[in-house]
Amino acid sequence: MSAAAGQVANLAGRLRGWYRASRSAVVGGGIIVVLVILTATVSLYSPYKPDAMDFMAPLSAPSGAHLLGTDNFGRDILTRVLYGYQISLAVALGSVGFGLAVGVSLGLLAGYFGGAVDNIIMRPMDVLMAFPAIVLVVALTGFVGRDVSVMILAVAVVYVPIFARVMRGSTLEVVNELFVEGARARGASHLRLMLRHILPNAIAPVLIQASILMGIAILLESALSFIGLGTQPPDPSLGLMLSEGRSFMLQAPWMVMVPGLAISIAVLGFNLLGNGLQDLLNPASRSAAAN
Amino acid sequence: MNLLTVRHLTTEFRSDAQWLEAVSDVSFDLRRGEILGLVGESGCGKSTIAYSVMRLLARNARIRAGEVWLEDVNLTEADEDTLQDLRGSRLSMIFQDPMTALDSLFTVGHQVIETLQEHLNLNTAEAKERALGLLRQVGIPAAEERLNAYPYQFSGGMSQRIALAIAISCHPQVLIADEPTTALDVTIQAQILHLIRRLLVEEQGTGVLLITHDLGIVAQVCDRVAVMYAGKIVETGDVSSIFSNPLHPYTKALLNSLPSQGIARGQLENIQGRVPSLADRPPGCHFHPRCPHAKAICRDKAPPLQRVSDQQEVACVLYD
Repeated sequence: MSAAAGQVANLAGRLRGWYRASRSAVVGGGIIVVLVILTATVSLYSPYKPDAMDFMAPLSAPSGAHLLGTDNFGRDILTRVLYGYQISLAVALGSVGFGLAVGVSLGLLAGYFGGAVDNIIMRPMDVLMAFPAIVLVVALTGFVGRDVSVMILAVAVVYVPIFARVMRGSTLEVVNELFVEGARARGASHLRLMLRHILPNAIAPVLIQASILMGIAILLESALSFIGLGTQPPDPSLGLMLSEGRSFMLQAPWMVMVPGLAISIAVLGFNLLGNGLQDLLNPASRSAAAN
Repeated sequence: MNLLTVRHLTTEFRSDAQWLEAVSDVSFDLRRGEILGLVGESGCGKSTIAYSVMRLLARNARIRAGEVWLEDVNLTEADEDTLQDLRGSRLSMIFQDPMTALDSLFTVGHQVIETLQEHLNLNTAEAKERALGLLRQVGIPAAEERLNAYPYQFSGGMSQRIALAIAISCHPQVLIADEPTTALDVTIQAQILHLIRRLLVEEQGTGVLLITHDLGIVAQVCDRVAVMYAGKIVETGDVSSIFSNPLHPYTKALLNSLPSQGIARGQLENIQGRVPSLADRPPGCHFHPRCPHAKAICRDKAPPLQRVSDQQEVACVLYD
């Protein structure tokens, strides 16, 4: 067997193992992987540009030429949905990535050191947490400007305290485990204890939270664009498409159904992944999956 | 030569607004190549001594007085960096519950190698080779394969062997074993204790502080023993003297409560009363309310440890 074939067989075996350990993680992860691939390569295979209008075929129903129909300007909806996903996924990944990096570090420090450090870190988090997410995001985007990076930052600010809290909680649970004491008795430094022993043992609930918050970030981005504070026309965004399609709901229901369904599928994918991660991150099922 | 010198160690815990003494004025020595047993009932301060020596006390505990020396290093005054260097290299510890003492997310090989690389200047291949040797030394069959196994795939006895392999990996001068066999069944117990004696004490001259509440284990493997009651050492000496000629009423009572073979079954001896809690230890000699020989003076005076023979010291007014 060639090396490549061996690797493919290996991957297939792994996937089977994961599927046994958690069907929902594999299905959810699969949805996301397919979405990411379709979205990232859309410019390579799509015959349409997202903002190319066709005044000869506005509001046309799904057909061979336009698989999911066109909107009031004759733009191909499938193409726009795929480009819209780019923004949705960028916001989801960016905000969760940023929130994770900052929130996990803060939560880990707070949980590990406790006492004054805990208070200094967590009390401002409580303040941030007290703002309703959408209000905070609306305020930030309204204040700073309407740009993808601003949206990412705004959602991340909402996410930091959530991640910090979850991480602090699970750190508190792990920090008193005997194996941490054992590692300390073997001469491990604070940094080593935190990064090598506590972080991997405490991160599981955070990753699950992260997956679910990715779904919520997609919803937030859509909501912001829907009310006009997010992506601006003519850029394609799922929320914006929903908003534009409202006026044509009776003549061209696909204009709202397609982006609506697209949002649901992405959110569903992240939620399934989040639910399934719990099983996959448990070492017993992880090693069963490896065999 | 003393590896470990403990002098007047007093450790206390914070409870609400007050500090409660868990260990009061404890002094002992641990010499090269010996096993010192530290026995006593639950809550008498055995483990607190261990954690005080390792300087791994919980946040609500502190050493109020006394000194602990590891040869020429004053552990009670050492800073965290020094302590991190010492822990796992010159000073090692194994715990009661081996199943939770290992990190369940990493293979056991990873954990052995981690300690080796933390303290010795080894590259990964060398460390792996050493780890393999250690696993074989502690009697893990198919060591090469088991290096890649996760802790949950090991039984309690096997986990304790791994913990022991990690503890001895850097040739410690002192090993503190906090009830290392309490969670294991009797045959495994004997194997682990035998390993400690052979690999550490005999081959490397390590000093072992063995904390236990099992007098059978003390008789089996210890050279010397210190008997603790309510935070104090009440009697210490070499094992044969203490077992053949216990002096302190508490030691006597403990030995009397052992079920012995060959004697007709009857009521098992016990010690009347219970161990006083940390918050209301009686004044004077802590044992006087339960002591059959208590005199009026015992209520006021806590006698210090006094040498009564070459092999034995006891803290009791009966031997003044």
